Amino acid sequence: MKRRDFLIHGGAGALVITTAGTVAGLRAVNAALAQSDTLASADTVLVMHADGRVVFTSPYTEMGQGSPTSAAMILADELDTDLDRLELRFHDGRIVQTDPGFEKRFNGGGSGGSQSMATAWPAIREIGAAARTTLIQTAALAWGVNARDCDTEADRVVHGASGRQIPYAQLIEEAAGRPVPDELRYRPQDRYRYIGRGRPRADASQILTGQAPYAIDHAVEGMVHASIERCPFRSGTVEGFDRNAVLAVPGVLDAFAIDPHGVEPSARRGIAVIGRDTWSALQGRRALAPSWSNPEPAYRDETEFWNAMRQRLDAGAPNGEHTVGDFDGAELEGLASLQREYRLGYQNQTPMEPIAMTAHHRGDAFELWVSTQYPRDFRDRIEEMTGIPQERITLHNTIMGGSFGRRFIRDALTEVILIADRLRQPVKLTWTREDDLRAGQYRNASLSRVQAHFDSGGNVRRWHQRAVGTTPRDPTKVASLSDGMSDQPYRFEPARFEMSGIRANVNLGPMRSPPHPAKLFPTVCFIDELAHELGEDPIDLHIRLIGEPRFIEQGEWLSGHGHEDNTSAYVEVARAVRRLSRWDEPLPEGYGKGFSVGYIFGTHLATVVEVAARDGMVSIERAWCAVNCGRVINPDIARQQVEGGTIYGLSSAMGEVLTTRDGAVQQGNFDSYPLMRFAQAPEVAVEFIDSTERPSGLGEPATPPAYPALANAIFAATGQRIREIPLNRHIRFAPSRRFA
Amino acid sequence: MIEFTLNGKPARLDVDGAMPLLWALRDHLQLTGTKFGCGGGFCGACTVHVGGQATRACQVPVSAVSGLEVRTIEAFGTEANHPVQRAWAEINVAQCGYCQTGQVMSAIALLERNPSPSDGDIAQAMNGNLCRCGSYPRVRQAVLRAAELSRS
Repeated sequence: MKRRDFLIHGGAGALVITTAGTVAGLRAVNAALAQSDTLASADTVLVMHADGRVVFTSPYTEMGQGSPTSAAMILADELDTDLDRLELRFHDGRIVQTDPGFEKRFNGGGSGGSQSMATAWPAIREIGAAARTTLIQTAALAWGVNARDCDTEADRVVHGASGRQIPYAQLIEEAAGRPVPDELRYRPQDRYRYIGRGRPRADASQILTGQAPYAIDHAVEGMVHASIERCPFRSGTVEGFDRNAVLAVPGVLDAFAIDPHGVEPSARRGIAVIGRDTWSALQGRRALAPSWSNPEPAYRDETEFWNAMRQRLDAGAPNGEHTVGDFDGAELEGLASLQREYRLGYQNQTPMEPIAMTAHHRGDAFELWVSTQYPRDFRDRIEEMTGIPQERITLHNTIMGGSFGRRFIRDALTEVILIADRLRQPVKLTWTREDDLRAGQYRNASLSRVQAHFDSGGNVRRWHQRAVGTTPRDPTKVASLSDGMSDQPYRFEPARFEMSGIRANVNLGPMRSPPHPAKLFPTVCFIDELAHELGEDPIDLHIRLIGEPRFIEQGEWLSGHGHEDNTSAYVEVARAVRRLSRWDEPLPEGYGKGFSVGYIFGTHLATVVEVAARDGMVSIERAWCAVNCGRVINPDIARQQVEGGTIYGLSSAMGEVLTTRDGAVQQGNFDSYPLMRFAQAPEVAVEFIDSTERPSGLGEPATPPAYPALANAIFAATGQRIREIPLNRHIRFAPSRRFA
Repeated sequence: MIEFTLNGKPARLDVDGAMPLLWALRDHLQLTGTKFGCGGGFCGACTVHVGGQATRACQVPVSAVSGLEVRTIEAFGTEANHPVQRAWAEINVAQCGYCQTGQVMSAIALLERNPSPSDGDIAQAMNGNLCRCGSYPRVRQAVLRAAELSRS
């Protein structure tokens, strides 16, 4: 770690630790801090005040996955400070702009891709170590002793030999302005007090009493409310509306067309209705009588859409292709073969808090109250559209009522900027549930075909996997083979993986673990079918197909988790979940268990789902997950994420799909887009592989394996093989027997 | 003018009687603990108590609570020390937390009328509250724990 990588600033009697990836970034941070009378904590990660306050501005955002809480634990342990007194704040994106290194070190300056703990482990510890090393050196200098003979103990530097100690707070003035230490002194990890122990979220009490400040709850003096009637077609235009009728609705103040689509392709054109309160704006929309145009071709219905997908699959000539070994020259004579197709429909992130944000465009300044995964991107868009410089943009980022990938898309932001610019008074934009389902950015639909040739010994002699996805843009760009298709652990050779696309007038966006479900569902369901064909236990077959331990490329994410190779990590979690779920014990009549294993964004995870069948329906009774995410920072939060991610995946697999007619989404609310309910949810048992390896994430990994595990369980319980998501197109789901 | 009792105190609202209680609470009484999740009565995020009964505030026009007793999450204070809240905290139920005030309100209504609910009773009372973060198994444990805490 180079000296220039840290800034220790002495202004305003506080020790400020930030990181800078470049000299230029360091200078920019230095300059920004030198200009402020009071330290803007939002500009930096750690500020230690001479009055004893320690303020941590989390680089990670909160959407229920608890990353800020866990990151605070890492800091408190490495810095050796009292976590109960640590003040936790959220950053507002400014530091990402002044410090390019911040973005790289801290996963883009937000949370996503399940990378918070993976990046926090090196980067947050570094910050804690930088501060602690500096404080030790400062005390040692004052005492005239060797820094090596000093240590820390809960907010104090101590000199063992003489018994001298001094609280951090009393060192701050002296420490600020010191040169950055050449070598950072990390704490022995067996001295950590917090990491590895469960601990409630810092904001738990606020949540339970209704005080947690979600963006939808924000209010500003003089605020008006906006609700937007959006075009049903992603790139359609507003042809007209009955302005007189809208303005006649009590409480409605104004109505005007907006066009965010030109700036932000994910946003739709629409008509903004402005009201004194949310209700008037909503009522105003009902009086609009809008007419729209739809300039882009769209599939009439599902039949036409899936026919187009199949045609593309059959046509070959894929956009992306990966071949292992001599695929075309493989000798298939005398081999048996199995070929199957799997399909997944479009799905929606559907966080419980609808999108909402409050904006005030003051002409030469802009203020936004929002909850987003990546505040920096939101600041950039404000500047782009308004021309207002960053130092005049104030962004307040708060806890998200769920996101799952939805809340870093800038469609709603673009809308509110346009409205705020026109109104020049505070305006709160609230999306409805219908808006969320109909004007969303969806998980892609996909059609896959898997074919295996195998011999009488059950050895796969050739593997062929093809998939088609969609895009609203250039279909030849749909080419990615990774994330569960070609980067999988099975020893298939020769093998070929192909990816193609068709154009569909449907917006796409990330939804918890993109695009793993579309890749993992066909692979794991097919192996399950092959196991049945061979008369072999599915887990045995997975392990046999994985073969001898070896290292395989797994994209850009972390890999290994304590193994020289990484295929062993799959086998390890598969065996662990087999034991955990008592896979080999006989089941009562009508019960079945299904298995899945995967590697998602750095974490290996295996899932078993148990289903019970009766009267033509199935219920999901129990689920088990074995997880290798390296070191577990906060077991309570970690467990929640695996339980929650599993239930999210089961809910999606069971009954969630968006369909379109002539380009317009047909679903509207939870009656037509049903989420799993309390009575349908299984108990979920979670086991973590014991590890002190660097952590990987848990926000997303539990979701993809749930899809095939559920389908496989249904087969085990009923003999019915379902190859389509959502599964409830083919079977009905009953409440768990526990609640009957 | 619509008059009713809100969290033990008289409330007066001069709004369109057709306005759902949800929006009256959030926009006109500045009580944002009751959440908007769907507006269609499907998700339970807006659960309040009307005459002690768990009720979806998005489905009740404010005129319909005239003269009645309405209780929102704010009735239970800021310290999270109701047995249901304590159980929820103990069991780490909340993730994003957005649905949880509705969950807590449904659970309180259940336990007030049925202090020793069976699993079937719990399912019936809680099934209307959607959670996207998958907290359901912990909700069940927390209701049972809250019942225990209330009995002791």
